[in-house]
Amino acid sequence: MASALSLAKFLQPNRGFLKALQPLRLAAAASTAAPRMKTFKVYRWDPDKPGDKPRMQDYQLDLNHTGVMILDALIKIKNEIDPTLTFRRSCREGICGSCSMTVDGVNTLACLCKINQNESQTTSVRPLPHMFVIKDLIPDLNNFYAQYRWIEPWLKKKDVKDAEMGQTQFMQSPEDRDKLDGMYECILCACCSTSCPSYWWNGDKYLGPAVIMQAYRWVMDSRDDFPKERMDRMRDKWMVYRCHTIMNCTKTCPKGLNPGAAIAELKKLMMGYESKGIPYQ
Amino acid sequence: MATMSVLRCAGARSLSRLLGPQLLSRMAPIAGTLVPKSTLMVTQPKQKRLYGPELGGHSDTGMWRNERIAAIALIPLIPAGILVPSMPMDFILSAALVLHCHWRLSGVCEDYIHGELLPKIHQPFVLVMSILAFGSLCYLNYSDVGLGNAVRMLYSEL
Repeated sequence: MASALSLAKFLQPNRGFLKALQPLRLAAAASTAAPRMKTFKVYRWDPDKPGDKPRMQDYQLDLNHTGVMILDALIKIKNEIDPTLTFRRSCREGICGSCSMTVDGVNTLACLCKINQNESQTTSVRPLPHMFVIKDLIPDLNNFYAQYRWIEPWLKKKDVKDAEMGQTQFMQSPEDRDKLDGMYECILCACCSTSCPSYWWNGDKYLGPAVIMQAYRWVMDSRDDFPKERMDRMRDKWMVYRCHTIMNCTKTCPKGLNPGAAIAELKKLMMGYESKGIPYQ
Repeated sequence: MATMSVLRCAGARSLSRLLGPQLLSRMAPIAGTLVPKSTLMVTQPKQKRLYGPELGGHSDTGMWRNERIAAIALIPLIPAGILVPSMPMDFILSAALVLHCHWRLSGVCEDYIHGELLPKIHQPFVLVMSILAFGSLCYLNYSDVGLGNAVRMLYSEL
């Protein structure tokens, strides 16, 4: 074991050498190309500064030295220009859902959104629309999470005591598992909910596309024993029926999911029809 | 709690190496209390309903179904009423149109009109407007050319 490790260490490229090489390569690339300065307009608001008003601040970045995604640009701004710029980010590859924001008027994940390489056009970056802003690009998602908690996004079983939990597996056929496709992939970035006009006006009472899609996901789970009770909790006129099939949710989803179809299928189920999961995927 | 934070900073893996798995599992329930619940609420709730929806409204499924029926019925009714104008057809079309408009206009008012006073007024207002609209259409059907013919005249006479 130890010899294998030392062999691997011997064979791997010298990190120090690679690190020393990198600036040389970058400098060579930069010296051949003229700087391509692009302006990013970023929403700024600092609650700790008394009397501060929200404003759009311009930042100039050379696209030759910037990564391809909006998140790369934001990290570069924070590292090199303005350390006070505040935004959420974690995985930088579209699976954590932290860096959801509005880029050029479209809700998306900054880490999945490519920078428009036309440097004559400015790119605007704003926090998710119609949410309380905590600071700069960070919206307050507490209401969103409270709604998610309210639909009880976990397996609920009849006739299984807490002490028996974890003793046996709850089995599911591959066909039943397939019904959850297009729903379990949701990372709860809130891009869809905050793009929905109905959620803008009635976000306190209407659950919003992301949460309704997860409600449908738990209704559709063959292992869950309370689909009817789950649906009955949502039958009032605000929680689901404020969806007017505007389909902004489906248009904006950075993961390519279809919350609009999920809501339609849930409405079908609530009327007593059968649903077989999200169609046409 | 401060000790726990320091231990947490050390990282879970080195912690388990230091203390052994038994101690870690005993600590597990404490770990959840590291962040006090009150600090999670950044925005103060202005209305009582800001955090999560409220249970208790009556079922709206039937209403939603009726709205869909009226909307779908209008797809054949409107061309039929214009192509083949007749007294009964005019009354059916007027009733379906007014019903559809009344339900959806109420919905639009509910969606967009917020505040203290106006939400109490808009429903009776929409109802009065719908009754007036239906009365006017009935008058047109009964004592004049009728709805279907009136729409035809928009294209032929004007």
